[in-house]
Amino acid sequence: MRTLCLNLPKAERPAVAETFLAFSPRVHYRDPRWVFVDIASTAHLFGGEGGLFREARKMVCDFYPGATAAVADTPAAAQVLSELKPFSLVAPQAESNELGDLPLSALIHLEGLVAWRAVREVESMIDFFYSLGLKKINELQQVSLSSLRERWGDTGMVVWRRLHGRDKQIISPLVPTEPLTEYMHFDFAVSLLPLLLHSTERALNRLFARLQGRGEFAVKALLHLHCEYSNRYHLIEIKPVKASRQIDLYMKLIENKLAEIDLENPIKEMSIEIIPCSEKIQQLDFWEPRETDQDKLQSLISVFQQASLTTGFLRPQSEIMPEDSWEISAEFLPSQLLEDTIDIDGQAFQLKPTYSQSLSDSPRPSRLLPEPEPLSPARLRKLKFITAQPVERLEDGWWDTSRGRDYYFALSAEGQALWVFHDRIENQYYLHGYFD
Amino acid sequence: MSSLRKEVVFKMNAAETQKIQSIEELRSSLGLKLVRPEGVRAPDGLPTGWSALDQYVLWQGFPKGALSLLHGPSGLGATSLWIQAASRITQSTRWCAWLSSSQGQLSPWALRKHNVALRHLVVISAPKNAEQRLWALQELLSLSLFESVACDLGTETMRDHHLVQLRQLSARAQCATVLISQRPLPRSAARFALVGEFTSQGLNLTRALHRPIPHLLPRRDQYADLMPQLTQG
Repeated sequence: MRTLCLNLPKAERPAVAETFLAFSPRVHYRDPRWVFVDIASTAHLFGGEGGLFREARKMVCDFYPGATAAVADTPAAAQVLSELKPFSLVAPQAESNELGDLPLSALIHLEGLVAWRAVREVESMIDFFYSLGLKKINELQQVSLSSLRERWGDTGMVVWRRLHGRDKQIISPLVPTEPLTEYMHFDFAVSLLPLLLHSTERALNRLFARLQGRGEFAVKALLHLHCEYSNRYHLIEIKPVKASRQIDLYMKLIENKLAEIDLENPIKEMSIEIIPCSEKIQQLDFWEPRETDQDKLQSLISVFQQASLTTGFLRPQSEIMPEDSWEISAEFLPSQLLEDTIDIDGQAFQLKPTYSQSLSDSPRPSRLLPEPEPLSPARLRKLKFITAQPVERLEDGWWDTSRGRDYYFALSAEGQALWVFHDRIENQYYLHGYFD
Repeated sequence: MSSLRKEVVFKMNAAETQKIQSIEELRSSLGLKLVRPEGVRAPDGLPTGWSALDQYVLWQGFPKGALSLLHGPSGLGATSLWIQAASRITQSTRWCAWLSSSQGQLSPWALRKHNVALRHLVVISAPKNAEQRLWALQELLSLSLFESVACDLGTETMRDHHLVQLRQLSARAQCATVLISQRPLPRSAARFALVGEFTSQGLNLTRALHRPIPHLLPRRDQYADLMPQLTQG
């Protein structure tokens, strides 16, 4: 067994262990600030223990400045080394030699997954051996098991086993159960957007590292902002079109939302909650770009939709009225086939005609007005209708709000090509689009 | 090609200039530093499919990395001109974007008639105000994804410093940005590489690099959308 011990600078919540699931499924958190990772079966994925250790060291220093780490055969030795010889990577089977040079006081840290039952017993042991003139751990390694057991009972046995690497401490796979939340309290309430964004980014980075360890994507992020005065509270919901772990996208969406908030009432507390979902696993070729056009587009659509701009791909619909005959969808969906269908049930059959089938080839203006514009008699007199008879008659079902429209092509005095219809009920002409 | 030759720039120091007495000496001493006519390459552009226009302008279409302005009343062919260019782009699986205005929307049926691949055309609804329109354009251009971005300004205009920003972004993204306006020519026309006014006679080019202006391109196929349908009907 090979163990990576991460020695965090201050007490952390058990959720911190999820961050390091990226290195191995076998991760153990020990209160208040220790994380042990079994890297025996996963080191080769990072190009060996050296590669894994470098990446782990970078991650722990980014998220927890002042943290240390060490790799050894057993969790207890890794803990001692992370405390007294930070960032040391001990070769397999060389743990005893490495521990031997350390002073006797290092016994306090020789714990691993299981802390000392009573630290006072270990301290008394250290004092006793100092009084005998022993100064280093390798001198203590000469003492027999029976001698230690006779004087210090179970604690003596555990010390002997840990000194000789015979204390079996198995790291079990970690099942993530902690909620994906981060909480921040500002000693000085924040009224500047860049400061708020900086704090948000740090918290979001930690949450997304946990998401990566858990193998999950973020469906949405909820920001709860508590103001300093009047118990004012803001809730910001960030929901991109597609679940992802793109922190840049989330930060952009958050920045846009935070920019809308009035920070005259400064923010005192903030919490971020991530709603996760399982990640979509993609098998990419070596040469395939990691960020595809689709990823860029999804980010763009998310940003625009947050700003209430409908964005996406035009999709024709099987509708008769031109204004209802299309929609904008965030994802490209192939057009429906406009064909008549026949349902056969036993001896009976039912023909379901697609009334808008012929309309797919009908002339439609390139620019359609959002609302048909009534034409005044004076303007109508200036138009030159290309045909005397309507080129098309559109009529919806009588059960709907059908008006019955006769469509014409017309030219204005300026030469504009217009799409005009005559409402037969109102006897009114409308401009509906331009062949622009 | 003659105008391209005018573009050829060479460098020589003062001492060399004094020594050179004749054209022949100039050619022999600086021959290596001159760019040959066949070495001059036209700037990139996106063909519109309207051969008269593509052959006339330097870029053989809408200029890439610059702003173009098509202005004039609706119904004279500005949108169709961009749709034709977009059709070529989208069919080659590259991306285009259209930013709508509150005065009109693109109809997918017309796009299908021009063989635009809707899979590669992103459409954005009308922005609320001028600031949001500028922001949307900046987002589109900064993505460096689109070959061409068209913005329907309707009857509104863009401020001069906004155009400067857009021009810089277009140059960085190498995107052909086309603004379509129903207003007369704005004062900030100098920000555009190509300006065309649609009139009942055709497209009148009022700004085009290294080309005599104004130049009228009569548009006989202006009502091509309508006539085939009339003949069928």
